[in-house]
Amino acid sequence: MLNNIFKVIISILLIQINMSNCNAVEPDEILNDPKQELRARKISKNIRCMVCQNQSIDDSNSSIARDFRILIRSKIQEGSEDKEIYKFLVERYGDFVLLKPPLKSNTVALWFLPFIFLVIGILVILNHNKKSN
Amino acid sequence: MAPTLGNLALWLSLVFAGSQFYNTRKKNKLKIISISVIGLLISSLFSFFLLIYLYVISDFSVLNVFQNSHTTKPLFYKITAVWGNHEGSMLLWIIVLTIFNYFIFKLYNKKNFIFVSKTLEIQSFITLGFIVFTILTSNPFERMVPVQENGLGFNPILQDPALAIHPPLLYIGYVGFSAAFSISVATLVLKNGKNFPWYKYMKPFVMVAWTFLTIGIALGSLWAYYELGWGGWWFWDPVENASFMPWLLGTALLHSLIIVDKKQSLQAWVLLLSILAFLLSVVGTFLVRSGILTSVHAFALDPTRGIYILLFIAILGGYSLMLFSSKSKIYSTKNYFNFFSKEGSILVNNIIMVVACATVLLGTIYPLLMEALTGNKISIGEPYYNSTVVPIMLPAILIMGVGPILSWGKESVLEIAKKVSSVFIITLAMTIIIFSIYKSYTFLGIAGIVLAFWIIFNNLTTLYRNKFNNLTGMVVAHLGVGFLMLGITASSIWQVEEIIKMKLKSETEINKYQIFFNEINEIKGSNYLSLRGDFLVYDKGKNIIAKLKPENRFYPVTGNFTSEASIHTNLFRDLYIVLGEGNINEGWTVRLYYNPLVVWIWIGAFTIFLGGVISINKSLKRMPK
Repeated sequence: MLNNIFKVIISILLIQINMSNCNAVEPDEILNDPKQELRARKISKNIRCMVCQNQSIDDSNSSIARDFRILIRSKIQEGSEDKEIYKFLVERYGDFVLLKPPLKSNTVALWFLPFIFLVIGILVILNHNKKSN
Repeated sequence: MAPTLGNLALWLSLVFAGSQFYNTRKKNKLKIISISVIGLLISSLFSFFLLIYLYVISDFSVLNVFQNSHTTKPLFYKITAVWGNHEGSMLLWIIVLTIFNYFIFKLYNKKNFIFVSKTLEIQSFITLGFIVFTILTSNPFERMVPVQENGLGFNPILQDPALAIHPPLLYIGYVGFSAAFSISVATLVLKNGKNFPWYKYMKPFVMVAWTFLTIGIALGSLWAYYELGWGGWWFWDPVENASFMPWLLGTALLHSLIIVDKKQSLQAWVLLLSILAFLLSVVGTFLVRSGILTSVHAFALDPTRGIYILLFIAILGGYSLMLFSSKSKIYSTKNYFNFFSKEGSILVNNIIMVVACATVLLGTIYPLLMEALTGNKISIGEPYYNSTVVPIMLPAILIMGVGPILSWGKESVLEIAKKVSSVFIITLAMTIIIFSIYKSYTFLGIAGIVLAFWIIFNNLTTLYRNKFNNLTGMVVAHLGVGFLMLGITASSIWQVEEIIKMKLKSETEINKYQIFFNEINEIKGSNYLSLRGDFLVYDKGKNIIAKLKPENRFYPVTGNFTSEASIHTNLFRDLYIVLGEGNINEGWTVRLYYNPLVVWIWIGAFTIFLGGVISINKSLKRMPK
């Protein structure tokens, strides 16, 4: 008996509740103009879902990510440029919202160190070979 | 009873590890050392099996079992839950350490007593560190009162065969580098190592570590591909990076070991790489296990574990690196390398691997450092790595395509051109064919496909020409990299996605396939309930190609919902379908992906693994007797 009641409850849950686990972009969000939609997807891939761990809003199923996606799409429909949308989001939520950190005084090391590593690597090799000549 | 025994066995292994450290340091007789080594192996294995037993019988008087298991869980997942949590995985780490410890012990022969003893001394120090850590901060045998009737279960998303065997494989990788580390430190301490073939002892361990790390990472990404539900398989997640960094250094390490073996040069470089590879493995463990990744603040709330590992890294790293800087001089030789030779290409690729590794490390810890130092939070995600690590790695792949066909010493350009002209033509032809099918061009895409075919056909011809010989392991592994490149490039540039609302009995199309939504059913699984859609896939000729059955599952024990993608795979493409939310009136959200050639990613990874296994065998045969 209990088992049956449980089953009924579960089946109601299964049908009714938002069973979203991996449901990122929903069909009702998608814009009619494929060009605009493509822009929205591109931007979404670079915006972090604020409540997730290392997920873009394009991949995330959280409701906050959905709100962001809808916001970006409405901005696009209003005629905003990509730059303006990024700027709008950063003003409100800080650099944390960007998955690709902007080049600033506090990210100089982040962006230039890989390049410096590479230069050092090349120097090491050249030096190694010069020594032995 | 059993929990007490387990705890006792853990303490006993601490004693044995201590006695191994003491006796190897004092260079006591082999017999006494062997008692410690075998005692350590048996006691740690015993405590590990006792923990498994506690999970199997669901002994909820043990906190760890209560927190991570449940009576309704299938037996297989009860067992794998042992290492699906922090405490149990530390115990797994310890037993892998002691198993490698035992294999180092097996190296003893008449000529190498001092060398192996020193190596065992270092290895037992590492083992001691981890046993003390486990007993002090993460004892899996801790009891709880009152005893609960049932456990808390564990995350159903982790109940999966690939993910279940992924940690042990990964740990064989991480911990395998411990042996390389110990050998390296021992070599540095014993100054006479210059004329002693320490690298021949190191190679099998590095091969084993690297091979298993490869397959471990591949299984993890395979899991992500079918479980996380949007067709992606690599996310540059810090946890993934933690395993990728030692892999990059391991790759550099095993390639430079070839040069050391052949030319006795680059010894200092290899000693350094093997130290760094293990240190990074421990750093990875720290990142994953300390909770620091979620937030610096979460870490600050319960810092004991993190601080212990950090201290341990500081001791290991401080000691080994200082030792290296003071003792490595006698191992640095000056050898001129022609860039257009086998050793030249290996050297350049070594540098690229290390630079890529440093960049991944930078991207992983930069946000942590920044938050700790300035309080500012930034995010570093896929787009960062795509614009740094990917372009750094690309030349490495290019060189990899050329390096193996060069000879040692010097090579004439004309000779090479003759050797590769036919492969060049096949590569060109295949590239034109594949692009005429998919008709979408990007620079990275073309570069990736050309390199993939180039590597595949070069290695196929070598394999065909040479039959089975000394180089087979290498050729097979490189062939695997070619497959991997093909899969990665094709699936990332030609993926087709379709997100729509579908009603029952309706139809949609993706890349020339008709998808028909036939029915939807409720299913009762072993410890979950699910809603399962039935989709029929037709080709252009209206033949049924496949039945896809994506599910939405509910696990009552933990209250989790998961989504199970359904995938139809062949050598050319995956059809990937995920059922979203919805109801009978409005229809359900359906996500469809057409992923071209994606299966080659895992065929490639497995081929690399196979090449690794062949090479392990070879390096074992070349061990000094």
